[in-house]
Amino acid sequence: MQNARVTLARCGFPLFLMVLTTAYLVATYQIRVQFSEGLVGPRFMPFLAAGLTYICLLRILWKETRNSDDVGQSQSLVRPAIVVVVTIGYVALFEMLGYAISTFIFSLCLFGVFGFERERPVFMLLYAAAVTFVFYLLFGVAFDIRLPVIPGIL
Amino acid sequence: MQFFMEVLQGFAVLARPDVLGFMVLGFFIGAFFGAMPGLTSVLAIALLLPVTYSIDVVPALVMCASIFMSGMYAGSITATTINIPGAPSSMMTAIEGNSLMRKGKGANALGHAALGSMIGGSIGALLLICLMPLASQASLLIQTPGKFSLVLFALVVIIIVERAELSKGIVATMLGIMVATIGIDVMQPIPRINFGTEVLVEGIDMMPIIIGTFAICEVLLQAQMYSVRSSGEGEVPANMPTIRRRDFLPKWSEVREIGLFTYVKSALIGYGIGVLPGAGGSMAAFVAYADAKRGSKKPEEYGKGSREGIAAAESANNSMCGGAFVPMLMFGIPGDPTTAVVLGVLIINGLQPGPRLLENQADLIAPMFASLFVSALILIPLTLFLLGPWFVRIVSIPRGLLYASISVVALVGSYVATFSIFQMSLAIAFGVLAFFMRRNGYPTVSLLLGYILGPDLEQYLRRSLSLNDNDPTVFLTHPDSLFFLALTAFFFYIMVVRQSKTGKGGTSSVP
Repeated sequence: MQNARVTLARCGFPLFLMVLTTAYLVATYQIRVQFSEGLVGPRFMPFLAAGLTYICLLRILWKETRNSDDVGQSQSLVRPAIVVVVTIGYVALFEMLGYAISTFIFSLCLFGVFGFERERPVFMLLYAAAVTFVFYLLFGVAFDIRLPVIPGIL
Repeated sequence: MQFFMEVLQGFAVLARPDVLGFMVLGFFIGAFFGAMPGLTSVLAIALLLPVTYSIDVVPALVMCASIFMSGMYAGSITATTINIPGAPSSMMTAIEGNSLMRKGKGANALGHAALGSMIGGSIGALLLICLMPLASQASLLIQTPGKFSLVLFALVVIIIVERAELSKGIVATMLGIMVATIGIDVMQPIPRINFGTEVLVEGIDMMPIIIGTFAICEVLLQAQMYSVRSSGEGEVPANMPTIRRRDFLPKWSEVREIGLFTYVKSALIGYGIGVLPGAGGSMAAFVAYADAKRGSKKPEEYGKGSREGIAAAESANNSMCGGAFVPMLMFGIPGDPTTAVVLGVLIINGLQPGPRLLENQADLIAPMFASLFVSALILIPLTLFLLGPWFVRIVSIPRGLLYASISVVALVGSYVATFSIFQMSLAIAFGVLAFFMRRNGYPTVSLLLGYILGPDLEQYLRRSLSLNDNDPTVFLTHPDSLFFLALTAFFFYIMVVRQSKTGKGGTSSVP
């Protein structure tokens, strides 16, 4: 049972890459060539890349099913997943909330993930404000870049 | 002669306060990222990439060169003091340097690392300056079929030297090529693989790939490692002896014992490996270290604190910096991951690698060469002497603060480059992809280099065939092409076929 779970975990990524390659291959068939170049037209390199990827992924899958070693798969994905969710939230709210508020919240969340100043919430808030301010100075002041703001507020 | 005048002019440009300021700033940034375990100079330049939109090309390139040189050197600091190489290229230095550290001679080891880096880096930069015109002339002789074979050679070497499982290296490279094929075709004005969307018609920019692969991915990896990292790891030991500045100066007798020949030979090895596409500082340091051990009068000292070992490894990995620029500037083929990102800086600023770069835009790249030389010759020893006692404290910076800052710079940086939320989203997507690639042993550097070299490979292939009535024998009838194909076969035989016969292949330590 344990071996089957490990094998499934090891095969998950190559299988995902296979799905990606298949989607890519489908899109390759939809390329409308303007004029024929013979053997190596606009479709040639995408076909070649997808074909080589398939062959290698099949070989990887074949090897993974015969390998019960769980090196690299035992580490938890919870924290990276939280970082991804927080980052997606940051990107989604970046223009809506403006640089200052979104970056402040984003920094706080990452501090939480990495356990930074968790016991001293006031310091955590101050550090988040400092990160927001320092990078505002870098991008907004030093390089004079217009960062998103909430009109009239921040 | 004209080029050498431009190089002298480059040194004059470097003396301008603004350019000098960027060089010194770059050096400190590189030293910080190089010394901090887990961070690399590649990440530093990747984070700098969006900033290059806002500064001139000369300061941007000068900064890149100083980051590259200092990042390569600074890995030796934590390698010596706490036995954690700040950069993978300092692995050999960790073995010897930390042994000396445990004997109470850490400052001496740091001094030898700095001296080796200084000599190697300077020789590498000088060789780059002196041999660049020759490389430029040689590159003019290579015709389109030869260019195809050269890019193919580079891709094959990159896949092999990444030390990942061969199949995984090929998959990573092909993924990079697949990403590069999205957008307008290289020969015909038609969109490809855009999945019916408007946003993908222009293709995928290099910026989110670099930011995602090197910055976002690193933050995710650190978040993963946070739960398994022991509490004391990465901290300066409480009983570490105080380091005084005068302890950094290597004794003349020790330098004589190592010998100028070791420094120069290691530098030449490093430079040669730098020219090889994708090889990088780790391989340079390892080969020079092994060579120095083979020819050493005291091989028994190796592994127990050999100053000669430190000198050879550091001399080679810093000399590699000069060599890595040659294929990048002449053919657009990066010699290592850092030059791959520097290539991005060049392209963003409208500079096209190739022999014409030296003829038409030498004034823009000469200050970069000067920066490489000055960083090695002056800034490395000066920084160690002035800031050495504090350098070892770098690892004490809280990881949470550090990675939150890196995330903000990476994401805001990818936004300010194009003012596009789509670019930020792509950076996250590539970051997640790169994270799972590294978790599963796929080399992410191959992804980036496949993306960079893929369009060239396709363009040269199709152009060669269309100019020769679709006759594939054109690659065997052109001497330059035949030479690179033979070289590819030779490398493949030496590094894959022969290694697998002797049972040495198939390691899976992937950067």
